[in-house]
Amino acid sequence: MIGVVEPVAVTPASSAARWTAFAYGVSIALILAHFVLGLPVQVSDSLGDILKLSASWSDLLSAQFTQQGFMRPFHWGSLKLVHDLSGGNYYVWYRGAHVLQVIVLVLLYLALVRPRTWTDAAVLPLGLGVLVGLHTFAGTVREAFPINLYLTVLICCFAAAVVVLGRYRWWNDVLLVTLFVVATLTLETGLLVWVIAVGGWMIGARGISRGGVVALVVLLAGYFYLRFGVLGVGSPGLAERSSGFGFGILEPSELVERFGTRPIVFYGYNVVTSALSVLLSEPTGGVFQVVRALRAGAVSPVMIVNLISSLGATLLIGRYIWTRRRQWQAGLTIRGGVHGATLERDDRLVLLFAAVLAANAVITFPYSKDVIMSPAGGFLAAAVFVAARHLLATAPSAAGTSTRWALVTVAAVLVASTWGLRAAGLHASLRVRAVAERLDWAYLDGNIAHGEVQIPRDARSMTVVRTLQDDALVRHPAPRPLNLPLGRLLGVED
Amino acid sequence: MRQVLLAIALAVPLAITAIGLGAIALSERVGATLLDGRAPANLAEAGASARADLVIRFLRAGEDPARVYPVHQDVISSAVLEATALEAAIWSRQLEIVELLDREGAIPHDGGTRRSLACLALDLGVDDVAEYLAAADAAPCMPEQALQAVMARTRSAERR
Repeated sequence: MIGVVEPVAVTPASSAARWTAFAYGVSIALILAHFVLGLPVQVSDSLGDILKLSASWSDLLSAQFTQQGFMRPFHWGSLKLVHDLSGGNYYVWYRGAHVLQVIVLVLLYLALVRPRTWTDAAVLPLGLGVLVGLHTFAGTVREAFPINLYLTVLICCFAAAVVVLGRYRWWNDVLLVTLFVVATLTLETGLLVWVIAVGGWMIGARGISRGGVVALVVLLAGYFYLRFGVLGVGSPGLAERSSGFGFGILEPSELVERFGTRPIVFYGYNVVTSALSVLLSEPTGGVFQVVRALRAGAVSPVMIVNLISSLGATLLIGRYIWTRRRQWQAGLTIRGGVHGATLERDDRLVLLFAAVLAANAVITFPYSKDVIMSPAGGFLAAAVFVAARHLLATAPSAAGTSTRWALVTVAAVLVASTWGLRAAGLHASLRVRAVAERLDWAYLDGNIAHGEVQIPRDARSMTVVRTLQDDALVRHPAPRPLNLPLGRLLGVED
Repeated sequence: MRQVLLAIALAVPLAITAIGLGAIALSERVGATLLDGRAPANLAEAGASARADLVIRFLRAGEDPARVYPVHQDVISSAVLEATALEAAIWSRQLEIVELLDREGAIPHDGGTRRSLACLALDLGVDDVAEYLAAADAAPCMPEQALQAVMARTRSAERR
């Protein structure tokens, strides 16, 4: 788009700009929190788990080290902790924890991109729009288990990036090791904390010491040894769950039938499509929805919105990489054992996005699920902020003719508008979900009677069920439905 | 100047979105409503709208499933402006709501109520509900009788 790099015209740092950006970020977090609070604790993925939490700490945690495919003791520890603290007030504590996660995430995003000038304040809405509008983020707020473990990992990843890209302090190494342990034992994608910390160090970030890197390498080796060598937990197999492939969803039996003798093909598909999904919003969940809709002549407006917005964001990052390629070539050359010393913080942030995208896609190999890619999506939002800031700082002097300049401005309006629609669509979908989750509670008794939901029927369990049911249907009923304009563009009518 | 224009182009669409969502959230926090759709106002409207969550809520709040409630013309049709929760659910072909109301004890064991509801379902061609409500020993239905009874209620209300 614009290949010439002129001296960067950066507006000076301003306390007012910083506070404006902070206030905007907090507002976005509080608005999202309001919509998240509209959701009840779910029946699916939450009720069964809550009923298990009356077990002792030792029973609960030891079970996490003896099952097949997953090893998530910290997730269960956090569930148990909130459960025991709640005193039976589950809605307030679990939904409160989710809201707290949302606020912490946005604050960490602000710490990561560091808006300090009016230029930064101007691009922050786009960055936050990408953060909450990308489809990989939706699963971190639409669902809870009943604490959203994907959001926990995203928070740990952002926190690790803030620490590793910041100034070194003596406790940074301890903090990064703690984040790695918590994230990795919460969810498998927690391994990305290692990628961020060690990858950051490799590209010259010095928020971590050499000793910290060594500790993380040892811990990573220990994790794999424990998981695969000692405990035999392994990783999810083909028969674990259904997954998208091509133009549809394959059930576990179909996956085994088609890929049982050559799973590497399916795993490779998952890795490639997961990365593409973050960059282009297509495919989603492993399914090429837009291509399928094109073939059927049924492309919906929201698909076009998603494609335009993601393409715009990816091109913006591509422009940044292109204009910074010489600095990157020089910075990534190892001189005297020093890596990336000449790179700027923004360069490192974009490089971290690339590293997280690749590693996140690899971790997703067993099956495709949008929310698993939420760390890569989060870092995409940070990279978009950096790229947009750079565009603002360089484009005025580089943009040449008026026609070209007008095109850049129109493209900016289009990309920003489509991200606005996606962010609004997320909020609208939360409102739809608020009703759908409550319908599950309303029909629960019938579903239990028909054997469609199987839960323990002892007195204690039924007391918990009634408390949660009353929370969802009586004490905290569904908020009123929204009648937003442009519903088809938001995807809520599809 | 170009930088300012580009900054506006990037920031304004998203800022407008945020202001809109913020206004909705703020208005809901203070108890007002903004851009919200119509929510069912009573047990009958909840039944007709398949809002099982509100059916339970209205029942817990003491609403009577045997009572005839006013129903907004957008909910079923302008020909049915008064109905009980079960009639409204049948008219909207909501078998799950009928089952839910039955589980909640909304259909008395007098035989007559169940039969008239089954007849209404037959009149409306809602076969699954008719099958659910059918009783082996019930007298046969007079075609259109149950349907006309519900619609007559609306005509009577309009005359009033």
